[in-house]
Amino acid sequence: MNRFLSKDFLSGVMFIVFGLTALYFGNHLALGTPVRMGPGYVPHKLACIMLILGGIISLVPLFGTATRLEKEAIWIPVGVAVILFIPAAHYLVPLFDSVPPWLVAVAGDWFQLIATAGLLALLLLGALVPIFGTARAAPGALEPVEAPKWKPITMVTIGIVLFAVLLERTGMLPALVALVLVASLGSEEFKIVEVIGNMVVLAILSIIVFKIGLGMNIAVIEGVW
Amino acid sequence: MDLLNNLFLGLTVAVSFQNLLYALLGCMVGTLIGVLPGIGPVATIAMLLPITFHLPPTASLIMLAGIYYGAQYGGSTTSILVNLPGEASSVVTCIDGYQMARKGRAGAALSISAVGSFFAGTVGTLIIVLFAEPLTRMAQKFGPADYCSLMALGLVAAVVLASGSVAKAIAMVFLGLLFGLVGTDVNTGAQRFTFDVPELSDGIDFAPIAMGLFGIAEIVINLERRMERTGAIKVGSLWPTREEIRRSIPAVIRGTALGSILGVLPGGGPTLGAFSAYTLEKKLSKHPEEFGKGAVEGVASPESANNAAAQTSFIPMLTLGIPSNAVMALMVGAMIIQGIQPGPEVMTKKPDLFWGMIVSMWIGNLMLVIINLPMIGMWVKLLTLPYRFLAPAILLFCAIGAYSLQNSTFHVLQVAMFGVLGYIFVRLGCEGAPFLLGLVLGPQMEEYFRRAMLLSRGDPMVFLQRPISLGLLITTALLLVLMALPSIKKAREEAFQEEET
Repeated sequence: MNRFLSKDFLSGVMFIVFGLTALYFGNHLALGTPVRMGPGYVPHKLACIMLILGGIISLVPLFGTATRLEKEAIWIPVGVAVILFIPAAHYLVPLFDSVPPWLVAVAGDWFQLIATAGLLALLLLGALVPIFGTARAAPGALEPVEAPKWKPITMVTIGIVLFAVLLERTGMLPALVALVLVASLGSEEFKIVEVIGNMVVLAILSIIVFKIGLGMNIAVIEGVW
Repeated sequence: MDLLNNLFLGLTVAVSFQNLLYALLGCMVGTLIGVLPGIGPVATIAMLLPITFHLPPTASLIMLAGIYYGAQYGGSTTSILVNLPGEASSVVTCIDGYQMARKGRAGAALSISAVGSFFAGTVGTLIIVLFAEPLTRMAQKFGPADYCSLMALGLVAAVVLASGSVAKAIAMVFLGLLFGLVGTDVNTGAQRFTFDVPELSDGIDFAPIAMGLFGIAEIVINLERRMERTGAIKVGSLWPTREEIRRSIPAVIRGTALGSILGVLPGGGPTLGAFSAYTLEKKLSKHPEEFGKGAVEGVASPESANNAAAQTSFIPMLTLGIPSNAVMALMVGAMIIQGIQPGPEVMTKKPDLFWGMIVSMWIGNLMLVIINLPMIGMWVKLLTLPYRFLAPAILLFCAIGAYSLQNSTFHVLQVAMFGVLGYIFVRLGCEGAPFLLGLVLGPQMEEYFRRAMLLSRGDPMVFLQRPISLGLLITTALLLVLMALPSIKKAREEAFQEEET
């Protein structure tokens, strides 16, 4: 199997993506000081933690499956470079006049610098390992991601989105029909008679529970009832 | 005498017609979903959260609690009769319960597990009564820094005791904390991660996330795996033999004790309780070779343990406002929907709700024995319902429920979005429970953190200077260090491997 397709590596990447998203969209929020924290203080710290944890989670399985040769040729140089990068960036960046202010801010914050270094390490290794090392791992060494079956997740998601789109425009009944039909298509066995029966039962049940029982302000068929 | 007064107050609340009705409803729904494999208490409570919005607070919490412990009763039925665990906490019951059923002792296994569960539930409720007040009083002395550390301990402990990778679970907690920040910042009014969506300015609603992560993702995973149904074994006489009773009494007591202790721990709960109880019985038994071939202790002890743990896991949630597992996180969510801030104030400010809920748990346990034993035939019939009928029904209830929160289709779309996210989590082996705990505690934790830092003039040492906070943080650090020790790491992995097979 591919070393980059293990559950751990990919979940690390997912955490990094969330961390970067939070950094990007939280960028305009004022950080404030530790005494008077601005709205951006805690999100910023959490985003950095996500980056660091994501980096660790991704790199550990990659390192664990590396050959001795790969460790010596790639991991040690990258590790040294990244560790040196932290103090270098911290002290050198402010010396230049033309650097953008956000870069100065990043270089001034040790925590964010460590997160950036981790990210850098992951990018470097992600590029160097497949080129100079091997992307293949011994079978059984890592837990691979199972290939998803697309039908259930797609059908279920489409069903709910359709329901959301139809609910206020056409009322509960058409939305229900669409949801049940599409969701049933996601199942392995599909028998139209069963699905229609299911719709009738669910329609009666939800009218009783939601419309009559809970008195929800929801139209069964828009404009009719 | 205070205690008796409180219990009396609780009794008057719990036996009101409305609350009895909702307790019964909760127990029925709980048994139902316990019997049905493929839908658990987490998904169900998430699904019903929006509905509780229309109910009075006490009634809604009584109902949700009923679903939780009701599921522990219902789960054993399917384990024993069809060798299919209705709930994760009844997985071990399959081993000996089904073997007993094959020997024609299905009725005995069912009644022993029901009575054992009832005993455990009663003891569990008593423990809540005894511990609620001292713990609450202790919690009232907590300052913001202490609270922050307590939450950190709760979150870390929950992670350590959960199965799977510790690092991933910790990352999930932080991700949950991050999602909890969405909305208007309470201190400055700034909009955080709202993307100009007005519905997000009050924060991401808890219910659609829980529905998506647990309800939708669970359905999709179940649809991918074809569910096979085998015929149920006939129940037969419900009366156990004298020998069976003699052997199960000590097992029930041991299971109850172990389950009660494990339930209180963060991250503990029914599943951990049941597994540990089974292992303990096997070790203590004079006839370990009988285990796996229909040993009555193998049914009595884990079934008692899971129910005791289900009860005692309410303790940290009710007294400290710290949820110890996903279901308790949902209960916290239910309280917040009702405008109640969970924590030590609940007991002093809402004594009727607090004590009413506790007493109703005992009444609910009594109801469950009645619901389960004589009506067993009805529940078994439900098992023949194929999952392809159930899945659209759950989806529909989630969708309508999400809409009913604020009459907005945006919430329905959120369910779909978090369904996809939940599916990705499952595929990547990331657990949803730590995420949910982080999400629930996130806003409070930020609040306490900022307040503590403001009081200390920005000095983070405040977390180490206050003795309570220091003690809690040392415990947290110890837990993390323990996890890193190779021998413990190995033992933990082995324990969870046993759970999976």
